[in-house]
Amino acid sequence: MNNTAVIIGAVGQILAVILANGPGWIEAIKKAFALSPDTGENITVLTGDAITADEELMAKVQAWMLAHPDVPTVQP
Amino acid sequence: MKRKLLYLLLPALVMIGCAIKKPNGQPASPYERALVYNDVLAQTNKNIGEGIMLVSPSPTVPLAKARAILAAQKKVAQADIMLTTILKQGQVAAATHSADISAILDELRADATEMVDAGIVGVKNPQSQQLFDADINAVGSLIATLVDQLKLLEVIH
Repeated sequence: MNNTAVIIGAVGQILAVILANGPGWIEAIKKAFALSPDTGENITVLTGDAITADEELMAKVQAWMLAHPDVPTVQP
Repeated sequence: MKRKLLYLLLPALVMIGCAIKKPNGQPASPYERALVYNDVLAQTNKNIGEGIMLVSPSPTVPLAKARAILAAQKKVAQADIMLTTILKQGQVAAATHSADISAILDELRADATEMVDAGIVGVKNPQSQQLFDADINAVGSLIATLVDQLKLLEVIH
């Protein structure tokens, strides 16, 4: 197998993994397909979706940090 | 290895970008495409964070590493909210905030580098079923793709 075939195969594999298993990727692409042709509406949907994901992550990280404090090692 | 992965991922992003179409068969506008990249960036960052919280603390992802990467991810999310708030105003309005957008993108790049520096290597993300390395590299690639798209649109220079 030459280099080109290896690269094409690897790209295909990565794409398949992203599309099959990456919930973030697939949801975003699904939304892009399902959008109406109205650009204004598309902008609202896509930006709203991104901000929701960012805000959810920030809230989860905040809660996780509180539940897992960075306790310094106590020397005996 | 990272560079090789980046080279492999970029064509995949381009293919996805080319595949984005509206129900009426027309391709998404270049600005809508930029917004899709931004949305995927937010979703990918969230998936990494949720995955880290699932697998840590553990011997493979100790608390200190998890805290480091999650802190960087929180900064990515904060910066992305600022960016998205500007992009929400539409292409013409966004172009008037070119300097602000460039500064936020610089911040995003620095935060993505912090995520790489956290050094979580060879651990599978239960959220994406890929290695965290691949997901984190995807964040860097998405930021680069978003920058290119916004330059193409002359939103930034």
